[in-house]
Formats: sequence, structure tokens, C-alpha cells
Amino acid sequence: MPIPGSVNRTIGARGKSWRFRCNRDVVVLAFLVGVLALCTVIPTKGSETNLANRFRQPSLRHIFGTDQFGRDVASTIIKGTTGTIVLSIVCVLLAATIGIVLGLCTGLGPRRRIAALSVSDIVVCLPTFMVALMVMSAVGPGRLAVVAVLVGLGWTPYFRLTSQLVLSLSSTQFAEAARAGGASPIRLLVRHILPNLAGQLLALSAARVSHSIVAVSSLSFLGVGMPPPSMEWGALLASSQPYAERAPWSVLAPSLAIVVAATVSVLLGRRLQSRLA
Amino acid sequence: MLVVLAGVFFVPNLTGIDPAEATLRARFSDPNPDPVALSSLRSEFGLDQHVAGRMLNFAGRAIRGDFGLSYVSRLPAWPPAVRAFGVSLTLVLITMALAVGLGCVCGVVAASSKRGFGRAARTVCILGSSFPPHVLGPLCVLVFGVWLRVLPTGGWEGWHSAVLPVIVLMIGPLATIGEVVRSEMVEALRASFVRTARAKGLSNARVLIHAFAVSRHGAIALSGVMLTGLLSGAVLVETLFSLPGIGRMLVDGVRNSDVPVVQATLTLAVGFSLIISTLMDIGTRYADPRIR
Repeated sequence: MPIPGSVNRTIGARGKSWRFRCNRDVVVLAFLVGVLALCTVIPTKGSETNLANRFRQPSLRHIFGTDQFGRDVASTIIKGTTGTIVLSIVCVLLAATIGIVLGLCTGLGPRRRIAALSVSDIVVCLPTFMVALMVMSAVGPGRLAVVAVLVGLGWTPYFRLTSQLVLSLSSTQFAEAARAGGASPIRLLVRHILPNLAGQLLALSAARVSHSIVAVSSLSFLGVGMPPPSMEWGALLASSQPYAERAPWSVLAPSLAIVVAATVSVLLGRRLQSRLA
Repeated sequence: MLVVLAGVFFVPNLTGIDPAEATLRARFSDPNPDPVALSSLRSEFGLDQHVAGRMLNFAGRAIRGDFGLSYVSRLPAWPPAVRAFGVSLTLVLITMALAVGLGCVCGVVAASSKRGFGRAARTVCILGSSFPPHVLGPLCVLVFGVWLRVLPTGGWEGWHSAVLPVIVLMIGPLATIGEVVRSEMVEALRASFVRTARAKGLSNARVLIHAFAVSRHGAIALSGVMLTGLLSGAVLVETLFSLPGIGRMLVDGVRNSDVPVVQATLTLAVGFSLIISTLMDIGTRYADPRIR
């Protein structure tokens, strides 16, 4: 399906590149997905410990140098992509699902609305990171625990957006028409209101990936996120920090990775926001 | 509040790690602690009683501000937590004031022009939220502390030791506020009252002030949420710069599985967040008459 608005603007654009230009967003998305997929399958031999090779400066062989264990920093970062980005995306998808379902439930009646709203109010009030820290320390580091904690604390933005829009959309004419046509409340919400929310929710999710990346990496940074053998970027940052003076590149590279990934997510969110919402 | 207390009590107890064992291990760095010492320590901290009894006991004492003795230092856990909270509060409030002020400026500038400063402000708004404290912190330490040697990289003495933590903590909220103010300003600048103001011949700055009056509610509503967010960010910043704040106390408590310390710090932090969010709800009502 072409993205609305893109075709009109670019179909008459000059030159032979119109085909490319009219699908620029799709190309960018495909590129990002491709990079991610590549990162998960690319062989990373250099990420093995090799103590003879410690603190090598950046060179053609080791683009970002080597760290205190003699691992190639570039390889460790590529290996950490699964730990950081894929995990963040999973968190966002799960949190969005919970938030959307609960948000749609608020359209089923005032009582359910108040119940759901008060639960989300409590979660919003909590100092998220401190609670996450406590829970993670209780259950111990692990992939599943990180996802559970971040989803449990991170579903509220989707819930808020959904419930807000459900409230405003259920008084529109098309909702009234559907109701008059005999649609049940659930059918109304799922078939008529949800499709109208999809764009905004997608934009929000894309932007929230950056929050998720930050949360995952900061938990690992404090040593309670992913278990040690995983090369999560926050954990890499924490482990190389004591050697910052000797090997600044081993600190700079994971920082750069986190910043670039988060920025891409923010930009993607803004783009989708202006395109779809 | 009761829910919070119950949560604060139960979660650290679910660890599956025996705190007494962990404490002894930490104190004597002995992997297999002596069973006699273990049981004496358990009875000292009342760990040999039943969970429900401990829960009631804990709730009764916690209301009076008594969280028991720290397992590690054997001093009451509450007073140092309050002291540490003071440090964190100073840090968070300074950061908050700067972030709101600069964020509003950034947002207004970003909305008012497309080139030059406006572009720079927009870039700050986008990039800012991608620089979490644990990324910016080590970088700042590296640049200012190690290479330039102009600012201290740890401790809490004098104003210059607060510079780096505040900058590191400030960037994210600044960007968020800037972004919200910018989007609301863009909207406000399209409104008809702005056209009227321009038609009256007001200067550009005056028009911006007019428009800002409409768009500041977003920033006010956001700053309440941000205050709790800042408290969370303070955990990282305090650990990075070794400030004697509540976040560091929490992290240390978690690492030593020092349950009373964790309970005391968390109760303080969560209670503070609850109070702030209630106050902000009331505050937004005053700031924006349309909600009332």
C-alpha cells in the first residue's frame, strides 16, 4: 500500500529517480531492517577474548580498536545489537499491545474506564527506573526479566494515547453510524476506532524504541540487566569505563552505538508522526 | 501508599538470596559462612520469624520512620536515607529549573525560525533525548575530567562538583520539554490571535511571548512527570559521579542485598513521587483554567 501523501508530491518529480523518491520512506525502513538483520547474522569472530591483543588503537583491522579483553570493539557492538535493539523492539511491541488493549477497554463503559485509568495513574507515578532496579535485583539479571519489567512499567504511554483517542473518536459521526448499524461495542472499537488510531500508535511506538534502548542499556550499565556474557551496549560501556583513559575508543564506540540507535528511533517516530498521524 | 509499602517489603524478600548469608559473605569475603554466625545474625535482624509477622512488624515501624538497622553498617537505615535524599533533591531541583528554563527557550527559538538558531535548537531537541546519563556521563568525565582537567569527576563538595552531574542529567528533560514547547508553539503561531498581534505591529519578541503564554501548559504538565523521571536519572548520575545521593544508596543497597536500606530509600523515593504527582495535578488545574 502506498503511503498516503507521498505519491502526489513526487510522481511528477523531475528525472528518472522518481520511482526511488516516491518510496523513500520504504527504502529507509528496508535499509534499517536490513542492517538489523545483517547484525544478527554477521560472523563476529573478533568478539572472543584474546589477551595478547589488548588496548589496540583503532586501525583498519580493528575499526574501533580492541578493549581490555582484546576483543574487537566493532565486533562486540555488532554482537550486542541483538541484546539491545532487538530486545528493545520486543519490549515496545509487548508494551504497546498491553497499552492498546487496556486503552480500548476504556471505551467499554465508565466503570472499566476509571479502573484502567487509576491503574495507569499509579504506574505513571512510580519512579520507573528505581522500581525497575529493585525488581531486577530481586529476580536477578536475565533477558526475560528485563522484558517483563520494562513492559510492566512502559505500557502507560500507549494506554494514555489510546484511551484519549477512543474517548474523542467515539463521539464522531462514523462511530455513531456504526452504532446505528448495530455494531457491538467491541466490534465498534476493533473495526472502526482502532484503524483510526493505527498511525499515531505506530509513530509513538517507533519513538518509544529510543526510551526502551536507553532503559535496557542503563539497567545493564548498573549490572542488573542482561547477564554478563551478553554484549549488551550498556554492559560494554560499564565494563570499559575503568579503562577510559587508556582506551577511550572502547568507551566511545558503545556510546556512539546507543546514541545513533536512539536518534534513528526518534527521527523515525517524527517522520511517521508527520506522515501517518 | 499502603500498596507501595507492601511492594517495598515483599519484592526484596522474593530475592531467593538469604540476606544474612549475603551479608556475611560480603563482610568476611568467605564463600561458605559459618552456620553459627548465620543463625545469630538471623535472630539479630529478626529474619527467623515468619514472613507475615515480619510484614506486620515492618509496616508498624515503617509508619514511624523506623526501617531497622542496615545489615552492613548496623546503623539505622532511615536517617542516612533522608540525608542522601536531601542531596538528590538539590541535584534534581537545580537540574529541573535549568531544564525547564532552557527547554522553553529552546522550544520557542526552534519554533520561531527555520534557520540558524532555530535549526540548532531543533537539533538539540532531537539529539538531547538520545544522550542518556550513562552515555553522556562517561564522555563528560573523559573530556572535562581526564583530558581537560577543569572539573572534578566525583564527590559532592562545592558548586563546581555539581556542574557535570547537572549537565548530564539535564540534557534529556531539556530536549523533551523543548520538543513539547516547540510543537505547541508551532500550533499557537498559526492561531488567529497571533495574526492580530502581528497586525497590531507588535515586535517579533512580543508576539512570541504572546504565543508562549498559550503553549506553556504542556511544559508545566510535563515537568511533574519529569521530576520523577529525574529522580530515576539521578540513580545513574549519582553512581557515575559518586555523589552521596539516594540513587547511589539504592544501588549500593541492591548490590549488598541490604534490605532495610533498599526499603528505606525506595519508600522515600516513591512517596516523594506520589506527593509530587498529586501536587502537579492540582497545579495544572490552576495553570490551565480550561481543565477545571
